[in-house]
Amino acid sequence: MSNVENQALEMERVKNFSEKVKKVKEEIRKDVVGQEDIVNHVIIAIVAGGNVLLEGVPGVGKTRLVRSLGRVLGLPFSRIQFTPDLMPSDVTGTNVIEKDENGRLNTKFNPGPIFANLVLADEINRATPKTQSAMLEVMQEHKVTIAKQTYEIKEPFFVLATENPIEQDGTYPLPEAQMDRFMFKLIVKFPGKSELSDIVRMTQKTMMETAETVVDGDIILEMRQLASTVPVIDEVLDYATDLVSNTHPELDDSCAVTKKYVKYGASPRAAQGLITAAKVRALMEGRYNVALDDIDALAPSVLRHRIKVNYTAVNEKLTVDNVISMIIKETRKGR
Amino acid sequence: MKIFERFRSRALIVSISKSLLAGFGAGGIVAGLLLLLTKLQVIALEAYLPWLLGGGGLVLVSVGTFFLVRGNDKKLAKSLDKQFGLQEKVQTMLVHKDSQGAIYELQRQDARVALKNAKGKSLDLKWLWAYILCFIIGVAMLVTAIVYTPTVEEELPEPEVPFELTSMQEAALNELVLYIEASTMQEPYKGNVKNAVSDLILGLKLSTTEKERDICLKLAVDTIFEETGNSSAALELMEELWAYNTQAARALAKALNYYDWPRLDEWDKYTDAAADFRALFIYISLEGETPTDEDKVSFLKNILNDTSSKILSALPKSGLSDDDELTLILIRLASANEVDDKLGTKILGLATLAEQAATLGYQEAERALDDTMLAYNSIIFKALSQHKTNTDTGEYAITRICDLFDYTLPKFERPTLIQSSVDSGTDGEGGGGGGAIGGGPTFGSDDLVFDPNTGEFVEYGTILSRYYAIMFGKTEAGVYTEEEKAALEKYFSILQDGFPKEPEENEE
Repeated sequence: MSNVENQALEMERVKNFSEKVKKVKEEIRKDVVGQEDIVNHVIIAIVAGGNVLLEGVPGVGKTRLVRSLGRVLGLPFSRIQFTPDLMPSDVTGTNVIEKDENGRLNTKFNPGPIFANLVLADEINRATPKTQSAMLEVMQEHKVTIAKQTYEIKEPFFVLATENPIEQDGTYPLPEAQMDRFMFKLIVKFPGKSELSDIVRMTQKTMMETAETVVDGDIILEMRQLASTVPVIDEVLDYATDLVSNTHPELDDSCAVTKKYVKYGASPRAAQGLITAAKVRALMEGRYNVALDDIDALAPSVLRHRIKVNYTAVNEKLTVDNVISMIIKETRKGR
Repeated sequence: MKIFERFRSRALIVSISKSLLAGFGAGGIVAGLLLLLTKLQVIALEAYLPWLLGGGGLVLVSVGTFFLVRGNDKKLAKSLDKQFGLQEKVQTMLVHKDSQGAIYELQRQDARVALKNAKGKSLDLKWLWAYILCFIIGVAMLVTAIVYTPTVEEELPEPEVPFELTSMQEAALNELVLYIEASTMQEPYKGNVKNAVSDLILGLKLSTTEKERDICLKLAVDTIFEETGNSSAALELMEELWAYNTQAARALAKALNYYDWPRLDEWDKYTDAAADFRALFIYISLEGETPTDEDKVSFLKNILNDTSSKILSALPKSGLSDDDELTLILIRLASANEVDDKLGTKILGLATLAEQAATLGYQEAERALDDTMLAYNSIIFKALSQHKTNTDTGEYAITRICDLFDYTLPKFERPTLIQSSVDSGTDGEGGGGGGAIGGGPTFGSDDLVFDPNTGEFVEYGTILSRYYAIMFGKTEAGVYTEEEKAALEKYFSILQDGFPKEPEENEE
C-alpha cells in the first residue's frame, strides 16, 4: 500500500473511533438506564487502559453496568465478590498439587479470577487490606507473581471495582496506594424518578442482559493506540500539570483554596491519567486535539479519590468535588 | 492555514486601526491642548509648535500602540480559540502545522472547518471602545481648540485727566524755592535742588494732563534725590567701618547709622584711643614709670594710625565723592597725626600731656584728655551735621513736592539695613540711642492709621517720617513760635524715643 493509501486508511480508522464508541454506548443503553456520564467515563477508562472505582449505594446498577460492558466489549469477564474472609490467593490464584498421567505429584498454577480481561471487584472495601494489596501489582503492571513465578495477564485488562459509601462494620478503607491505581473514581448516583420507572419496567420483562458484542479486545487495543496519537499542545499539558500541582497544599505556589481545604494532593499518576483520558475523550467527542475542556471534564473523576480534604473543608460542609471545582476555577483563571 | 492567514490579516488591520485611533487621539489631545493654552495665553508657543508636537504625539503613540497590540501567531491562535470556543483547535493546528500523520491531518482539517464556520464572526474587538473614545476626545479637543476664539477684552486707553497748576500749588513751590535758598545747604547741591524745583514749576505750568504732570514730578524728585543722594553713601562707609570690627571703627559706624549726629559727643567713650590713653595714663600714674617722650608719641601715633588706616581704606569703597564734605573731614581725621591742624595739634598735645602725667595729677590730665577728644569729635560733628542738613533739605523738598501733588513719596535710603547688627554690638548701648530711623521701635509704628494721600489704612510708622519732615520744614521756615516748636519737638521725640524715664525715688 502506498503512503497515501495508508494515510487514507488511518484517517478512516480515526473517523471510525467515535462510531465504535457510539455503538458501544448504544448497546450498553439496552441494559443500563441513564448513567450517561458514568458510561462515558467507563468507556474512556477502558480505552485509556485505566481502572475504575465505582461508588454508589447498593442496587443502582453498578454490577449490571460492568456485566453489560463485558458483553458489549466481548471480553472474558470475571467477578470477585470481596468479603472479609477473602484471601489473596482467592484473587490471584494458587499452585495446586495434582497427579499427572504417570501418577507423579506436580504443582500446577491454578489462575484466580483476576485472570480475565474485565474484572469486577465487587465491594472491594469489604476485603482486608492484605487481600486488597494483592490487587496492586496486577492493577498497575497487569502481572501476577506467585511463588517467584510471574504470570502476565492478557491485554486488554481492566479492573472495575465497586464500593459502598455507607459506613458499615467490617469494611476496610482502600489504602491510598491502591486508590491511586484507579484512573477514575465515579459516583453512581441514585437514578431519577423517570429513570427508576424505566429500570423497573425493563427488569419486569427480563433480568437478563440483552446487549450484544460490538467490539473485541483487539479493537480496544487499536483504539487505545489511536488515542495515544492525539496531539496535546503545551498549553493544555501545562494546564493539566498545574491543576495537579495546585492540589498540593505544601507547594508555595498552590492556590489559596488548596492551602485552606486540602490535606494532601494528587500523585503524578493523576496528571498522566488526565492527559491519557483526555485524549480518548477528545476522540469520543469527534475532536482530534485535547482541549482544556477535556481536562476540566475529567478532573473531578481523576482527582476525587487522590486528594483528601482537611477538617476545615469538612467543617464548612465542603465535599471533595466542591474543593476540586474551586481548584479548577482558580487554575483556569487567565487561560 | 489560509484561513488563519486571513484572520492574521484581519488582526493586523485591527491592530493598525487601534494604533491609528490611539495615535490620532493622543495627537489631537496634545495639539488641541497646546493650541488652547496658547490661545488662552497660558503658554507662549510658536504657531507651528502645537501642530508639530501633536504630529509627534500621533506618530509616537501610533507606533507604540501598534507594537503593544499587534501580538503574534500564538497569541492570535489563542485569542481565536477563546473567542470562538474552538477548544484549542487553532493553537494545536499552529503547533502541528508541519506534523505528519493522519491524526494531525484530521486535526488541521477540523481546525480549518471550525475557523471557516467562525469566519463570519468578527474578531475580538475588546477595548476597541477605549481607542474610539480616545480618538473622539482627541478630535473633539482639536476641533474645540481650532474653533475657540478667546474674547479679548480691549484695553481702553485711560482717559486723560486734565491738570492745571493751581495758584496755591504754584505759591507753595515758590515758597519751597525760597526755603531752599534760605537753607544752610551746601553748594552746589543747593543750586541744583533749587533749579530742579524751579524747572518743576515751569514744567507744571505747561502740563495739561496728570500724566504730563507726573512726568515733571518724577523728573524733579529724581533730580533732587540724585543731588542729595550722596548722603546715603554714609551707609556704605558705615558698612566698611563696621567690617573692621574694632571698637573705634564701630563707634563711628554706629554714629553714622543712627543718623543722629548730636549723639556723637558720646562717641569718645567707645574709641580705642581714649580708652587706651586712659589705661596708659593710669599705668604711668600708679606705677610711677616715666616712658621716654619718643615712646609716648609713638604710642599715641600707633593708636591713631589704627583708626586712620581703616578710615582711609574704607573711603574709596564707600562711594562718597572726593569733594564730599564728609570725605574731606574723614581724610583730615585720618591724617591728623601727620598734619599740623587743630586736631593734629590737639592729638600731638596728648603726647606732652602724657609726659607730664607724673606731675599733673590724674584730674588735670583727664580734663586735658577730654578737651582733646572734644576737639576730635567736634570736627566730625560739624561735617556730619552739614551732611545732615544737605540730606534733610533735599528730603524735605521731595516730601513737600509729593505732598502738594499727592505723588508717591520715593523711598529714602536710610542707613538702617544693619541696624540690628549695630544694636547688638559690644557696647550694650544700642537700645539707648536712635529715633524713628535708627534706634528702637517707634511708638505706635505698628498701628494702622488712615492715610489721606492714598485713602488706605497704613502702618503709622510708614508715614511718621513724612509728618516729621513736614514739621521740620515748617519749623525751619519759622511757621511756629518757640513754644509751639518745643512742644512739637517733644511730641515727636516721644514718638521716636518713648517717654523719658522718671528718676527712681530711692535713688540718692
